[in-house]
Amino acid sequence: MDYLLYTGCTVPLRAVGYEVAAIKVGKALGVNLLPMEEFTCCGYPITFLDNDSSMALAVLNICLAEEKGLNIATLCNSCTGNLTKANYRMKTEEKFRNRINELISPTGHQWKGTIEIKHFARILYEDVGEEKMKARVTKSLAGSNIAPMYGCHYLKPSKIYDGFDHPDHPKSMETLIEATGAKPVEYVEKTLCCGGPILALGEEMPMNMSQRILDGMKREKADVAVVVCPFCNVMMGEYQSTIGDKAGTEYGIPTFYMPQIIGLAFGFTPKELGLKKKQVKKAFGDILEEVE
Amino acid sequence: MTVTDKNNVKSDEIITADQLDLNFKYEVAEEIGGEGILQCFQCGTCTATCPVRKFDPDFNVRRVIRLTLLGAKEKVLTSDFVWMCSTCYSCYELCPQNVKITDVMTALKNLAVKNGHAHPNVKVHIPILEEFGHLGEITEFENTIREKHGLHEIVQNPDKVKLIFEKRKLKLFMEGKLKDEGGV
Repeated sequence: MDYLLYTGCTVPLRAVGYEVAAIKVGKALGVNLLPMEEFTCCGYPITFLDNDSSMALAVLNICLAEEKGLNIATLCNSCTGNLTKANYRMKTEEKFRNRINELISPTGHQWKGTIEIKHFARILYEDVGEEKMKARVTKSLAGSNIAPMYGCHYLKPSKIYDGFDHPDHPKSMETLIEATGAKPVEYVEKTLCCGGPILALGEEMPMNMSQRILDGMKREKADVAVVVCPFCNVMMGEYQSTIGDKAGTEYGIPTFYMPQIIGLAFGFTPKELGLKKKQVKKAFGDILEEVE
Repeated sequence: MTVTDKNNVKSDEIITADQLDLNFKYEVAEEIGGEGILQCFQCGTCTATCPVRKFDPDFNVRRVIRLTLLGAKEKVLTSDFVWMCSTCYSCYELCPQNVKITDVMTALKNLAVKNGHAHPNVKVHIPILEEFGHLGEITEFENTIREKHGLHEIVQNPDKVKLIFEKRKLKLFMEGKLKDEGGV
């Protein structure tokens, strides 16, 4: 299975380890994530300002992939959402299609509707499947309690995602966690928004929103959190100690990207997954005897 | 004491008919994505499920929709309120009238920009995209890290992004000087 890997803006700047791990894990499972230099921003950050321009940027990137004849694999929830939404609307709304085709016309590209966009976690869940993943595990993460955090645009709006998972009671991330041998932590906050998209308007609101999720993970005794979006990681990971200070508690929940925990179970070294040995020891020290 | 909430509505203020623009709701409905607003029957499911509202009672989605339906155009388009929607789609999924509230909120933000009220913290994204094609510069520093991990080098090229923005007349739009076009 070949896909063009769409990294967007945030992954290369703040989450290189996510990209590294996705490529490694993909390769181990027969999913080739191929580099594509010409991709630009998906347009999501300017949806708030001008949806026309935002959707036109998304369609530009879809056209670039169409010309290579390959589907797109995404890592960021917001990229997934904007690209999928643009593709869906190009297919279903004539007025929209005409307007966007006009806007992208100076670039020389034209939308044809020949490719699909899928989040990498969805590819693992839907196209690879639990059994194939389980068969590849060499270092089980059994004994670890891992809290999945879905974020928003991985699942919603559900109508653009062909119902691959339930928007309120999803199970795809749990399935992937179970494949590593670890136990998924069930908590009601798992599909809540981290607030990342409104971070530019001030830290307080996103910190409150993320605290609610972290409190849920802590209440249900999660050892580790796993995310599928670099924005969720900014809030759960990078902001975790600041949120803890404000809340007067220490959460101590190391955050990883989904392909990183799968990669650990597949026996890759922390370095091969863009992780530091110390990080992995802190989270899985008791389970993984040797962390090289 | 009189307090002004984030919709620019004062606590002791009565909105009178002469302040209203009765055409405003149709203006919103004309934006693609905004059409659902006319279906709202004010049940408040959106407000109940909103994760932003949980921490700021002033952020009341039902209220912003009601103000829009009433025609309080200036209040809605100049409020901080419309910018606080995090586009989580929780309300979108649950709305019994298929108002597509997330899209309506986006339409309201776009209309605010069209009328010259772009939020300064969000506005800055445009020049960054024009310069790099991404929401940030990939420097030698990032590319060295990439090389160490065996990843391909990223060479940024904003040319096609700029062509699209020019075709859209985005500069004029952002300045509130492009009123009669667009709306997808």
